[in-house]
Amino acid sequence: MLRAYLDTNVYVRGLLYPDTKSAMVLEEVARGTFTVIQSDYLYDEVIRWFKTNKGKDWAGRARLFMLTVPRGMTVTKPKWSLFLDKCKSYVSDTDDLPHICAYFSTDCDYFVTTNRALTQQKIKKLVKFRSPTEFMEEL
Amino acid sequence: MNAGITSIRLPPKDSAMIEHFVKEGEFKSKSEFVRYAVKKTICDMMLKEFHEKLGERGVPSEKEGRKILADIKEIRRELWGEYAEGLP
Repeated sequence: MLRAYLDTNVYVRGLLYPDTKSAMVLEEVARGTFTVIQSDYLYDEVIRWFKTNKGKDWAGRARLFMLTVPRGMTVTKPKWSLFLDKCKSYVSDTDDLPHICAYFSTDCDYFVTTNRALTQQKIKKLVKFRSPTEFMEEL
Repeated sequence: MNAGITSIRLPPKDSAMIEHFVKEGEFKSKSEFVRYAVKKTICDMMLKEFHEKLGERGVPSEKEGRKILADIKEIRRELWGEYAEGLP
């Protein structure tokens, strides 16, 4: 089954804007169409965004949504950090590294993001970046 | 967290269908099937709840999109500061 790592922006846009492609991706997530790779870093980022912008209650719901993904698989720091050396030289912002390392440590097929700046870095040679629109077309 | 045990009665047809998918190797056990079904339902309902109660119509403007990315980037920088501790 296809494995995809969804960037934080896909969760935020998809949960907030039902008419977006990100929301369509999350609908497929809820259907269990593909395996969703998540990381501890991703959980923290999504939850912190909701806590800051929408309050504690919605942050809790966002956490519940992520935890109940039917075909979800979680990778944590001890595992993704093993890939730091491999990825360091390809990524300009070190704070993006945990997401990229999580992608590699779980043999993901796609990295779905709306962040074009990330997809233009050297790492694009090694990572199959897709926008939510492109991902939906290929799914 | 302790696993909660919930007993449920299923119509024989449903139970037989679950056994069929277990035999086909789609699920390791009947419990795994039920766990999957429960997660799927909760996930779907959570998404609906977000869209109905918090959702904003239309697609975000470019400005809103940039703001979301900028806010995430700020959080990412803070988090990296915390996660980087103890890394090689």
